Amino acid sequence: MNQLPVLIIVLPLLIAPILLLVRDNRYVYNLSLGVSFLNIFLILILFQDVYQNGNILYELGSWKAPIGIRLNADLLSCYFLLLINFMAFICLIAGNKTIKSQVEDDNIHLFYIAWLLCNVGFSGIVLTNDIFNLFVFLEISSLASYFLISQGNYKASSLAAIQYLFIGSIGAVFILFAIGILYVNTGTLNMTDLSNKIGNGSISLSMSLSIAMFLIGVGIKTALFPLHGWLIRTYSYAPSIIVSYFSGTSTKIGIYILLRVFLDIFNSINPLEYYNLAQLVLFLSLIGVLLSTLYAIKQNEIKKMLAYSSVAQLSYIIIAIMLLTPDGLTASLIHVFNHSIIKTGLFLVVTILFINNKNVSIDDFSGLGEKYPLLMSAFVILLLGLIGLPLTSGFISKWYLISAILQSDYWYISGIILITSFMTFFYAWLLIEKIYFSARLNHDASVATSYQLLCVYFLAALTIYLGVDTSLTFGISEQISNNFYSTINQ
Amino acid sequence: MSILLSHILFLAFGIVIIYLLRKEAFTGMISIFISLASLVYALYIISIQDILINQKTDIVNIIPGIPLSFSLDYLGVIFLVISNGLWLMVSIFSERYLELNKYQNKPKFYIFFTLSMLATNGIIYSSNLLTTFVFYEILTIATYPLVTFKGDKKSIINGKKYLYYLLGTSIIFFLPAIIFTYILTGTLDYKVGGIFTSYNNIAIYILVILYLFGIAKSAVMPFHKWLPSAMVAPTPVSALLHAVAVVKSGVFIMLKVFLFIFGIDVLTQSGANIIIILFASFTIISSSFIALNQDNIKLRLAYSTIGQLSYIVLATAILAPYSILAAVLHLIFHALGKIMLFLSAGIIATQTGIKNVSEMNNLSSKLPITCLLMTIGALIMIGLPPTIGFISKWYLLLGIMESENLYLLAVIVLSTLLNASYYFPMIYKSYFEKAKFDYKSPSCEDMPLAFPVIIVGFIAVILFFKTDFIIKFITENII
Repeated sequence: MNQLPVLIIVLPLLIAPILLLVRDNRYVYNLSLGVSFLNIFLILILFQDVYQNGNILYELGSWKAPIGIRLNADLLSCYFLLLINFMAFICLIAGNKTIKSQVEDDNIHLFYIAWLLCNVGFSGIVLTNDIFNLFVFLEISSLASYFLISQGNYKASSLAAIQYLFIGSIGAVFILFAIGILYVNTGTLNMTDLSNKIGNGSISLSMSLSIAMFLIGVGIKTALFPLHGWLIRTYSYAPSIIVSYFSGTSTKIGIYILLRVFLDIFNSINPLEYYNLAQLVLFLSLIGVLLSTLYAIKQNEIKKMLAYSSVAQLSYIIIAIMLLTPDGLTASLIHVFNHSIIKTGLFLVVTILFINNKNVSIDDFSGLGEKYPLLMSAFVILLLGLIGLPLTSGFISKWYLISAILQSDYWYISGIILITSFMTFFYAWLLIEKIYFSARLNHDASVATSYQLLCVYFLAALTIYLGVDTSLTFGISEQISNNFYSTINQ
Repeated sequence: MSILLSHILFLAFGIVIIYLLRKEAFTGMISIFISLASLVYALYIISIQDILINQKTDIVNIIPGIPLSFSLDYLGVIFLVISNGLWLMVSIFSERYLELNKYQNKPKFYIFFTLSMLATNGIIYSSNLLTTFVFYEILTIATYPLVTFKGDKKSIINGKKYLYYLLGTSIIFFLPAIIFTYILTGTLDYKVGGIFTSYNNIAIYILVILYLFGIAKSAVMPFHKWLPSAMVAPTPVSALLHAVAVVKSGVFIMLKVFLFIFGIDVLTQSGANIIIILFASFTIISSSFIALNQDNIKLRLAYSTIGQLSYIVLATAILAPYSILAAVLHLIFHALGKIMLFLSAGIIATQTGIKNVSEMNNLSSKLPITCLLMTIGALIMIGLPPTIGFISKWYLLLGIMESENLYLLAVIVLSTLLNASYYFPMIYKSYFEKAKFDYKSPSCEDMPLAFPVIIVGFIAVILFFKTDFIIKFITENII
């Protein structure tokens, strides 16, 4: 039996308590970096295996499902797994210096432990084939996140963490109830089994309750409008490096759960279509795109601006899913990947330049183009990617999104999508103008280490690479969505 | 490797060279050399055009099924000579111009200038709409630092307007038009006769409007405002980019979309060309009226450009063989005439500080050669013999007769009168009206500055007597 799926989860899980004993910050850092590098390596092997040979199922302790717990690595899992662990690795490299200066010395090793656990939670969510385990992993990652967020050196950091705790818990409770109802109805927790047992029958009242609860729970996790308030606060007050990490991972996990639950587990009854849920969510997201883009333009604080921008971009992803067409799903998966890279890159630049500034405003970027020509070029490339200009990955996302919308029943919303996508340009340009046309302010931006710079350059280069060569993003996404929709149509 | 790709790569290499050697002193020389080499490239490519025509070079598949791809077509051949030839002239001009006007940061100027020309050549070589779109956006971004080159508040505000119009229209109209075309036809390759095999009229109407608004570089109203705002740029930029490269790219793409994406049959049968004719006619007339009220020379020229571009769009949309001939001819002739006008305006501003028409009194005593060149340019714009402007207007009129859209004659006549009434004051004032004060030196013509303009003027005059080879080329290959 292929041991890779379980290794990817267990390895960091084993390292975490060891770090608690090591305590020495330097070793702690190196160990966490090492384990996350090793993880990427393992994931790449797993990915290749899954790509060539199809799903890999792993029965924990050789207990057969549905009694035992099963891990299931399919293409969708691998796609998200790679994304999440890659982001974690990049942020770990870039974060070292920032963490040292932002987190209290005594807490640093705890910080890394929490980080590893959080990532274990994320990896677990995408790999597990057991819906209750999904909830457990979700809780692991959430608990670790609370700690990570609370370590920000803002006054409001603890408050943000508590809010995240409350709202996250509410989301989790909804998901837990939903799972409970499913269990009562079907007597199983294994996803494949669930999917079979739900069958083609009509949807009972309790089942629809479960569906609604899932939707709310996942909606909170993905910052679905109007459940996006926590994201803005978290992104504004968490340590910047954690924001960089979360912007590429945590909300994307929400997207993963949404896909897994609604397109995989429930695929035979297709609840999104049944209740016109898709339409509801789509129009909510459309409002979300409009409002959050408007808010992003109005923000003076860059983290808030990028946070609102994230809400808008997530809404694009959700809209693409809710088209309920293979093209839409492909578009959403492409954008998941591209947006993570772009947004993490943008937040990383903010992180490494402004370690000591608490509220980084747009003005703080004044004249930086002269001081850091290369770093700012990378930043501008990332911004152009966010706008979606050709030769950046954002363009690919936009192309498929518009293409999917034009071919769906909702072709008439394409105008709003295009206009909001142009509005992205408004706030991105505010920054570019500051960078190149304003006189430099006196306060010093902190000096970035070469590792940090390399991370940003790498993400910017990826933004261009993924805009030219789409075999990874488009190739995989298309295959995943074809798999899903071929099973739905059967 | 394909010669077309190597041309583009050569220009990219040139940019790297300018960046690496960024010395104020000799970037100008390097840039002149690059533009010369680019012209040689263009001429060489034309000399072997028979081999190259319609031979595709795929570079990379951006979207599966739609590669970035280069090829050469006959329309491209014409635009290629014009843009690269005039680029050489303008780089000679700008070296002297930047020096006389004491501009700092020349390497930045030349880097983005070369990048703009790279994008223009990329547009010429594109063999499908996606490639065109990629270079179209690069051209917008590359010209922005040139528009804002002065770095003062006015240029930043105008630069923003420039970007908002060009990027905004390309994102909101052009991109969905391309995607919609792809969904309907399954291809984006330019093909003689168009790519629509079956269609419904409403889709064609929607697409025509999207393309008309989306390709805002051709400055058809109501999305024309970016062109006057771009006039804050240094004169060489206004001359080459905003009278030749950028705007002509716009009409060039428009021509290609109408002829090679829709095809003449689809446009006439669906009647969609009437939409284009209406917008273009409206633009021709109203831009002339606005130009009448502009005192600033460059702004007057800018509004004149808007009108002249719509001539080309109108001529294309009439879809008669003669009018398409007129469109292509006017693409060449307007480039020559307008660049002379802009460069003359640049010389006038540099040597005397005069920027408004109302101050041009008796300018000819001070700048005799420049005023002569300006006069030739103005006559081309009005379309009077013995200048080449007359030839393109002649064929446009023939085309209108041929297509029996006789009401358009009124548009042409009215706009010609208007053109005359905003160009003649410039000529009249500079020759016949007495100056309010006497100039100290009788002539302050700067020969190095005027030299490239003289060459363009010379070519423009010669061409009037020797247009038959161009007309033969166009009638044989394009129509």
